[in-house]
Amino acid sequence: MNRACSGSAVELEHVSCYFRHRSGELVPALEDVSFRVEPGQFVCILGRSGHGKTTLLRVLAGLQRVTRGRALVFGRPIAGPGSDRPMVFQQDTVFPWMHVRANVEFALRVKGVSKRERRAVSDRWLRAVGLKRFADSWPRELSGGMRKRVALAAVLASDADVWLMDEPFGSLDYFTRRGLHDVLLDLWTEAEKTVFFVTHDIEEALILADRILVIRWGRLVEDLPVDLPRPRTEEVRATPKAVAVSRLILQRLGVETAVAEPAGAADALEV
Amino acid sequence: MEVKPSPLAPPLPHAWRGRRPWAALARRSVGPVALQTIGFAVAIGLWEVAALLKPATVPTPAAVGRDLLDNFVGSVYLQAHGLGGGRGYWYDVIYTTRNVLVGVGLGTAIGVALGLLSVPVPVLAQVLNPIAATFGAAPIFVAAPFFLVWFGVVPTAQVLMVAFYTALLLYIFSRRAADNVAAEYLESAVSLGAKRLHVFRWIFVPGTVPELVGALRIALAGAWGLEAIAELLGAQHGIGFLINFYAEVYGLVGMTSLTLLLGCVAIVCDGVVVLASRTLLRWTASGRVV
Repeated sequence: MNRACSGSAVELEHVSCYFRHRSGELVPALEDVSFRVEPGQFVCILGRSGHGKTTLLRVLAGLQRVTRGRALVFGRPIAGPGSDRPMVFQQDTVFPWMHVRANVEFALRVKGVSKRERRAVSDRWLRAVGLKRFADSWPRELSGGMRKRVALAAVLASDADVWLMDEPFGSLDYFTRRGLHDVLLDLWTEAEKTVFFVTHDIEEALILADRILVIRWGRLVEDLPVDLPRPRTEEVRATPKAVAVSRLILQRLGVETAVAEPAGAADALEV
Repeated sequence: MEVKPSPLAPPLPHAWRGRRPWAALARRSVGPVALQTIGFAVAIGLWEVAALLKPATVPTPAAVGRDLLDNFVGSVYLQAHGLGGGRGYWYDVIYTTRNVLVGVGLGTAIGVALGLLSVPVPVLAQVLNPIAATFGAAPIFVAAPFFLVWFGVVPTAQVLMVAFYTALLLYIFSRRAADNVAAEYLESAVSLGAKRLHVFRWIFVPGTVPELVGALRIALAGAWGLEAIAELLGAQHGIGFLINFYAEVYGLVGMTSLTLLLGCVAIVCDGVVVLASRTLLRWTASGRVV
């Protein structure tokens, strides 16, 4: 799909999602969530565990039906899962019975793309994620971080305009995670796609996001543009502006900030 | 700078191996073989002792060996009793093996196909589950006389009985294996654009293979016994048929020889399944049946 054909990449209009508890009570996972995201934005969905971040992403993936409201991708209502919105999951979802290359080519294979074409595409994205020489390996022969890169490459190879990522690096160690942030940002810069990235880590959101959607108890409590220069180094993340963003997120999440605000932090944020 | 290991640290495995190379060698390959040989020798020894203690009911290993040598290729004894037309045990071994393999093959194809198809087609599961539950709860040996009554004393009855048992087992196992395929794999596949048929072909089928190989081995192991029982009840050839004949003439040596032969053929067939499954399961951690 050509994203030039429509104004918004993703649009949610008063979306609510309810689950029925065993007791029969309706539990809201999302409550009247509305936002609009322009093509090419890197959006982080931030919140505590169990507050509806993943439900929101699953709505965008078409894996979760909405109880009320409308979800649109490039102007079209989301009717179910589709290769235009592939998702990288928190769990390890690289298919263990397929070689790395077959995993990367999966979306192309289901589309019926020829073997030659598939190979060219998988070569390109395997090189991009630094796994070209592991193309013929089994996933069990790779580390957790490498398998995440395979999952990324599979999403990239699908040539979708919207990438959905549900805490994809949550299970990895700090150093691997930081390395994968760089890989992801490089790929995003090159591909210019719209990314939705679920995280509960404020630092991760500050490193990655153009915009942060803060979710609390299923409600969108803050829609925050992150106007910080890239790359978001340690120094950038220590500037008064970045600290103010962090403080505002913590406040919106209901966490009292005990750390003294640096001078100028209050004025740095214009939201 | 050389880093010295702490005196409190446990010895490194390679250092330990260096001091006792025989241990490493034993662990690598000789160990299991030697242990198996010892186990086999102990079994033969116990058998020999049992034969000495109860010579009227337990034949000696030597007698059984002699019987196999005398009767495997051609058997004057069986011919004298109007059996086998001079052919030895080999003919009946092949007869039994053929029935088991055809029955297991047929049953596996039907059981796996129905089991996996019942996942995307829930109506199929609703129809088949009560049938599988009913027949799964009843001992399959009870069904043997019915097959003989319906189909007569022909190989078809034995093949169908083995096929029925295998299909039942494989249906139940493939349903369970399909249920055990992680939901994340299915969601990941559909989010990458896979439709129902793609999910079946590329997720369910390969994802269930490890459990199905295990089920196939169980079915195969049971099928030998089932086939032998069916032959005991009524057949004109086969190892079970010959065991029944020897039982009638109190031929303990022949009975033991044929039971051993049945066991050997079952082990060889199981070995072939294990070897074949290593290719199918090379993506798993061990590449072996789980």
